[in-house]
Formats: sequence, structure tokens, C-alpha cells
Amino acid sequence: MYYLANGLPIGAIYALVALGYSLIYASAGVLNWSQGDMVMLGAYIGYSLHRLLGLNYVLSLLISMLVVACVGMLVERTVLHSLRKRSSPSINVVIGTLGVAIICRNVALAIWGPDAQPFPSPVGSTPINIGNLRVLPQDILIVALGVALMLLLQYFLKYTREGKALRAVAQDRMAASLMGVDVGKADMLAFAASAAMGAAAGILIAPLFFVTFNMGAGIGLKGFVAAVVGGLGNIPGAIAGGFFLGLIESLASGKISSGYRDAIAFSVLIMVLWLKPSGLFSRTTKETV
Amino acid sequence: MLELVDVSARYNGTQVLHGVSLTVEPGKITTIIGANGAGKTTTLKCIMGILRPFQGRILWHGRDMTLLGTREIVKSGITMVPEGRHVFPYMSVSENLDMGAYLRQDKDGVKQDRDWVYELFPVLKTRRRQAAGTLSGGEQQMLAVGRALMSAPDILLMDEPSMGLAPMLVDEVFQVICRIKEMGKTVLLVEQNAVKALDVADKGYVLELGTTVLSGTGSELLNNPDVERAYLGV
Repeated sequence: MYYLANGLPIGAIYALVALGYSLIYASAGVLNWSQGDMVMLGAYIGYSLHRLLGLNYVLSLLISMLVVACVGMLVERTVLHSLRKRSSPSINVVIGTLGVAIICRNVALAIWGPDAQPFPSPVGSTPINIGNLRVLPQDILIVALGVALMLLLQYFLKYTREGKALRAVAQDRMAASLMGVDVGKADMLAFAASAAMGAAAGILIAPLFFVTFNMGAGIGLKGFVAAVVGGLGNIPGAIAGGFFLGLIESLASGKISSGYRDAIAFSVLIMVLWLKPSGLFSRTTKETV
Repeated sequence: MLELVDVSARYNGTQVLHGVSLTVEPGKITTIIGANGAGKTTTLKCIMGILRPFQGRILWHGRDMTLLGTREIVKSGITMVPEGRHVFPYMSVSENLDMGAYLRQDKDGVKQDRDWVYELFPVLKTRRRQAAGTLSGGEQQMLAVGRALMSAPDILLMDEPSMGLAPMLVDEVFQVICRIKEMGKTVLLVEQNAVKALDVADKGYVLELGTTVLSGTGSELLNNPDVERAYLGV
């Protein structure tokens, strides 16, 4: 129970980041290595709005998601779209996103400086007792807002016209364009939604750690592990993978040692790649010929 | 009327079409037959704007469509059932039909067409909540046709609709094509199964190495000794 309470918040963060990887992988077929830096940008913009301008936390979160979504669209236009137009192979696009990641870090360094910025929780740091568990209010906020955003994304994908179109592009790009879907716009939407999810993760996690210009590297990699564990390109899988990784880490730090937390997370990745490369939560429907 | 005038196109750097010219009369079934690699699918791809011809023109009701994008072409009333069906496997049957109507704004018309598609293919109605990937090959082909019809097209391009289906289902597919024509729609059919295609077609074209070498009514081509030798396997 203790480990569950501990693993859920970080799991929600991983899930948000993992969603970004999977959404872009599913629709555009590439890995976006700037996803972790969308987390960092989200945290910094949230920090500026909330800490420096004194805006309300939730409002800061929404504005930051919006701004970072625009950054995501810009990444799509400058890297994916323009390279695809020159029919560059996917690996070039992936390297391009790596370049974006480094640019983001440098820009953040130039704007906000090298020092880690504290971001106190808007709901205080006095633990709340729930039964015999002591939980930080920020942890509850992370899980509540994180799950709300995931549900919102699911709703968007399942029930809105543009969301359905995005799923169609992810499942069969050619057929989607034959339906009249603008696949380029769908790619932009995927990048925007992914970046927004990453930004949300950044602001939600900021109160637990400091905000730094290179915070995206670690979280980005963990989110990627979660996405692969859940089956890259699989949206429900990304969420499950995120929570799964959060719980494993929580168990590992509690039962073994927190120093081995990352080693264990990546061991899980290697084991999954070994035993079930399509992901632990891969879809079971077989395609019929 | 859909008209192709001297259309030439490359695919992956190789020239596949060397001046294809053909006319599709409204309300009729026109078929393109030819061997593998003759450029049948490429011709359809050019019409849909998936591939851009480097020469020639594609006219639809006299309007030049050659440089338009797929979205505009679908909007103008042309739609295609791609080879290999290409249904959205993880979407339900009903969601697949929704995608067919993606560009339409007229809710009532969409509802009407959905009812009509369910009437045409009752099996789709019973399976409407099922993921399309779980359907059998024949059912997927029905869904692909139904999905294309949901865009309320004037002309339906069909790429090898009978491919990979059991003989009984093949007959069903051709019956469906005739029913679509009876609804007043135009059909451009690309088929390996030349006998069956020419049997239902009002007009046929024979494509060889990227050029139209022969044309005539369905029965003329069926009885043409050259066609018989090359494509009918007699």
C-alpha cells in the first residue's frame, strides 16, 4: 500500500510523458527525442507564470500546456514536415528531434540561468494522513490532474472528429488520406498534444524536485521506457506502462535501495524487450487476412 | 465524366505510366484490366492525387484535377476503395464508416447513407461495434466499400476488390458493384479477374506497360482473341 501510494504520482508523470512518445510514434512513425525537453519547458514556463507572475497554479498549467503545444507544432513543421518533404529517412527526423532537445536546453539555460529553481507546491508540503499512510498533497494533485488529462486525451481521441482522424492516421496513413484527412495537420496535432502532455508533467512534478535546464533528459528517458514497456504507439499501453514503471521504481527503492532505482527501471526495459518486445500491454487483436 | 488525357507518371523514380488516356462515362462501370505491373494501381493513385503525374491531365466534369490534393479530390465526389482493403483495424465498424463521411457536414445525409450501407451489407450492421481488424477478409472488403460509399461519391474507384477472396465472395463483390451502379453511381474498376470484370463492365480498357492498348465494350473485349489469349487464360 505504501509503495502504491509512492509509485502512483511518479507513475502518472511517466504516463503523461510516455503518451507523448506513443502518440507521435503511432501517427508519424518517428521517435521524438525532444519530448523530455517539453517537460522542462513546461516546468519553466509554469515556474515563470506561477512563481514570478503570481498566476494561479492550474491556470499556469493550462497556459504552459498551450505554449508548449505551439512549440510542439513548430518542431513538427521544422523537423518532421520539412525533412519528410525532402523524403529524408526517419532516422534523420529522429536526429532532428535530438537537435531540438539540445536547442531547448540551451535556450532554457540562456533565459532562466544555470541555477536550479525551487517551485514550492501550491497545496503546501504538510503531509496528509489517509488511514495509516502519510501522503504529500502535491502527490494527490499530480495523480488527480494527471488522470484528468489522460481521460481528456482519451475522450478527444475517441469522440471528437479530429481525434478520430488522428487515430485513423495512426492506424492507416494512406487510407486516412483517402478519407480526406489532412495527414500533415494530424501530425501537427499529434506533436501539439504530445508536447502539452509533457508540459503538464513538467509543472506537476516541479514541486517535488527543482526546475533545471537539463531535467528533461532523465524524465524523457524514463517516459520512453514506460512507452516501450507499454508497447510503443499504444495509447492505453503508455498509461499502463507509466504507472507500472512508477510502481516498480517505488518497490525497488523501498525493498532494495533507492540508488538502484534507475538501474532497475532499465533492467525492466531490457527484460520486456527480451520477453515481450511488443510491450507488456500490447493489443491482443490479431489482424485477420 | 472522368477523363484521363495522356497521363504519364513515375513511381519511385521509374516511369510506370506512358501516356494513359481513358474516359469514364457517368453511371457506367468502366474497367481497366492488364497484367501485374501494367500500371493499373498507379493510374488510380494519379486520379486520387496520391501520386502526381509529370505529364498529362485529369479532368473531372471538365475541371482540371491534375494538381489537386487528395482532400480536394475526395470533396469533389471521387473516392477509392484501396487494394488490400485498408480498413482501420482498431476502430469499430461504425467508426470506420464515420471516417468515410469525414468531410461531410450534412448530418441527415450521413445518417441516411449509413442506413443504406447497412442495408447493402447487413453483416456490417450486426458487427457494427466490433473492431474492423477482427472481421473476415470478405467482411473487411464490404466495410471498405461501405466506408467509401459514406463519402457520398459520384464515382467509386475500386482497386482489385476481389483479390484474396473465396470464389463465393468474389461473386458477391461483383453483385455489389452492379448494385452500386444501379444506385446511379459511376464505377472505375481495376481487376485481375478479367473475365468477371469485363462481364459486368460497360466499357473496358486494356493496359499494357503503362499505356492503354485496347478499348471497347465489355463483351467486345471478352470476345477479342488477343485479350482472350493474354488475359482470359483460355
